[in-house]
This record gives sequence, structure tokens and C-alpha cells, in this order.
Amino acid sequence: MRENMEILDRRWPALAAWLAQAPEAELLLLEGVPAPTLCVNGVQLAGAFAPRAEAELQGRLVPQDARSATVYGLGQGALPRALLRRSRLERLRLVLLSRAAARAALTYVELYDWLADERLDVLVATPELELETPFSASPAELLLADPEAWRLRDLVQLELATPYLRRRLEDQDGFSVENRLRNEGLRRSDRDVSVLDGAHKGCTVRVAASGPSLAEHFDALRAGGVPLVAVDSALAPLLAAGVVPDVVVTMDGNERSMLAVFDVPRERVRDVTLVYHPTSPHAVLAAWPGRRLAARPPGPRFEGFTRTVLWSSGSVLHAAVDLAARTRAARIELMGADFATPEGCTHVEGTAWRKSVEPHPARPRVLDGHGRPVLSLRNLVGYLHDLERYVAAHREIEFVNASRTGARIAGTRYHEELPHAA
Amino acid sequence: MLLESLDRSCRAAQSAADLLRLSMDASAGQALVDIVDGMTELLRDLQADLAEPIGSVLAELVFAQERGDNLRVADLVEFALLPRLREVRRSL
Repeated sequence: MRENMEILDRRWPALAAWLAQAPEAELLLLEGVPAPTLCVNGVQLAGAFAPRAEAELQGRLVPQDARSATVYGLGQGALPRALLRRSRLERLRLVLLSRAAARAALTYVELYDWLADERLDVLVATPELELETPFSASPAELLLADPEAWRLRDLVQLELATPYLRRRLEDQDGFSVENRLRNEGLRRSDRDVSVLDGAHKGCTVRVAASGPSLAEHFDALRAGGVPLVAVDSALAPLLAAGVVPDVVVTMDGNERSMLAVFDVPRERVRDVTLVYHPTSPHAVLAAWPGRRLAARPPGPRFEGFTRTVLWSSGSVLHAAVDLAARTRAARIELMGADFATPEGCTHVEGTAWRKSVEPHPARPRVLDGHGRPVLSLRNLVGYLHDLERYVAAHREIEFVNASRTGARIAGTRYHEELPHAA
Repeated sequence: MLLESLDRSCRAAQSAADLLRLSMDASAGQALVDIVDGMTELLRDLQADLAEPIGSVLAELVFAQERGDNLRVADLVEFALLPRLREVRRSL
């Protein structure tokens, strides 16, 4: 479409160069349908039956009275066109996520009726770009996103999944309430986690998560000498490797899962401190032979609990990192914090929850420490970006990612003298 | 019983298609599970001439889902599966 390109060249000349770098893609026109549709690498850019109704539906994510909005992904252009029909809209940002998809649409679809609209700005997704609301998105382009757009794509998907995740959390409230009631006595007798505040001021603290790369650090951990905070699911593999952590953090309320996770020899954990949330299963807490310290998660549901908050957006690793920060560690070394499934596994060997993960086009990928794509899971990607925000907000602490096997965590650095990090 | 199950599947189908178009994959996944649950029951009880067209749509749907083509899945659910389910309902 020469007209599309003329507008692009005039208004956003840098975009033409960006589009020229599009990788080779398999391009098809899906015919024999009410609205012939482009397919890029086997993925339809738009619905082939009622694309206008589809765009109207997607546009409902942007309130009718919004003055500005963002669209992530061009699709076949129906969504930006639908939004620009709104006279109240003063500014529309179109963020392109996939070179191949954008080039296909700009080459073969008539878009010039709205591309020239002065209210429109078109930009390319970069790793630094933050999510802007209100927004709507092209499902195809989220899937076809280029690696530079993965972080932004993840933020879009996480935001769209939030209502569902909230409902799931509410569903879990049943056993949470029961656990809270059953733990009331323990919570009163156990001390608060704040007794660990400042315990390792100026020192290095290691945090062990249960990603597959944890196994890379067993030799270093066996050598000891550095305080070790572990997440609950890392306890069994650590003990099996001859490593006894100083502190274990737990917050999951599912009794059956947690009994499996804590199925470890009691005599091996007598000197280990268990930091727990009020929602932890009572059976696990009552059977713990060592010291217990009580904490609570953030959020209004727990405001009635007079215990110190350990930050988490859902991952126990967050709480373990926050605990390490509360000890006033100058440096926190993250081990097994993969936020991905390297070698097709969710956890290090020896964890109760270890599963194989099959590759699937819709499964998210993150970049590992070598800059290579590695398969992940939607929840892990969300936890990764939440941890990155936490790291950015704690500049006083040096965060070290001890392995390049898992996801690159923005704001951390690799300590090249650590084994397996080079 | 069958009518109730069909109505539930029709609602789940429209919901899944809308959620896929909105990129709300997690919620859509749950709706798709509801459809498959309903279909398992339905295909067992239906005559072959009604069951076969539904079975072929489901096969294509699985293929589209495997390559992550969510809009194709949405189209199949809304414009191929849903009309067939409504046809079955009318015939009962």
C-alpha cells in the first residue's frame, strides 16, 4: 500500500527503517471467508468473519469518555480506526509489537484513512516502554511480538489477566480463612519476623528459589559462610544436597501442597527458622520443630493482623527477598530465581512440584542471561516484572543474579566470579 | 439435562470467543475448558449426523489453539461451533 507508506515516511520516518528489518515471515491471505484476513506465521491478524464487531468489542476496554488511549499492536488496523471514530479522543498511541505483523498489514491493508489522523502517534515497543492505560490490544500481535517487545507484551497480558487472577485469589479465600482461624493461637505465641530486622546489616545474604538453576549452586552453598534464606519449595532439594538454610519462608495456604513440600526429615530442620503468613496451613506450622516467626502479606485483606508485612505480589520468592532486604543486607544473591523453565522443567530436581513444560506458541518466552529466548509461564513472567520493580525501588541494595540460565532480571547484575555465572 | 448442558456450552462459547478477542487468555482458557467439558457429554449422547460436524470443528479448534492462533480459535468457536450447537438445540 503505497499510500500507507507515504504517510509513514512523512510522519514517522524512523519507522520505515524499523520495518525494513522485519524477519522473513510466512504470509498467507485467508480467503473464502466473509473478511479475507492476513495470516503471519500461521496466526490471523484479525477475525475473518466480523472484524468490525471485533474491533468495537476490543475498543470497549477503553472508556467512552477517555481523552487518550493506547493500542498495543496494529492487527489489521480495525481497532485504531474504531477508536479514532470517537470525537472525544484527543490522543491515540499505537505501539507496534511485531515487525513482521506490522509490515504485512502496512503493505497489504488500506490504513491511510486513519494513519493521517493528527491525534495518532505511532511508536515501536522497546524494553524500557511502560504500560499506559487505558488500552486495548491486538491478540495476534501479542503472540507475534518481537523480543524487544516481550516485556511490554507481558505487562499488557498481566494487566488483562488481573481480574481473572483476582477471582482466583478470592476462590482461595475459603481455606485461607480456615487457616487463619486455626493459626490464631500460634500467631499470638510466635514472635514477629521483625526480630530479624538488621540481622545481616552490610553483609551478603543468599536467597534460594526453586528454579532448575538452583542445582548449579549446591557446591557454593555447601561451602556455607553466607546467610541463606530459602523459599519453601527449595527446602527439600537443598537438604538433599546437604545444604541447611538459616530461614525458610512460606505463604501458600494449600495444605495438601504444603504437606508435600515440607515432607522433610524433622531432625534436619531443628535449627531452621520458619517465617510464615497467617494463611499457611496449620498442620505445617504445628509440625515445625524449629523457631517460627509470623509475618503477613500486603493488602487490605490482612490489615487486621498486627504483624510485619513481607512484600509479595503472589510469589514466595518476593517475600524471601523482602525478608533479606529487612535484614539490611548490602548484597542479595539470587540463586534458582529463574522465572522460566530452562531445560523444560519448572523446578529443580527434588521439589514436590517439579513438572515438565512442553513448548507451545502461546507460552511466553523471556530472555535468559545470555540473551537467548527461554520458555516461561505466564505467572512467572508476572512475578519477574514485579521483582524488577522491587529491585528498582531498592537502589541501596546490590542485587546479584547468580546464574545466566534463567531469566535476565532487570536491575540485577551477574557476578562473574561466581561459579556458573560466566 | 442435555438442554441445560447445551445452553451452558453456548454461553461458554460466546464468552470464550469474546475473551480471546480481548486477549484475556486466562479467562478464555477457563471458558474453553467449560466448552470441552460440555462437548464430552454432548458428543456421547448425540446421533452421529449431529455429532460429526461438531467433532470436526473441535479438531480444527485444537489445531488452531496449538499454534496459538487465538483469533482463529475465536472465529471457530463463534462462527462454526456456536451455530452447530444452536442447530442441535433446535433439533431436540
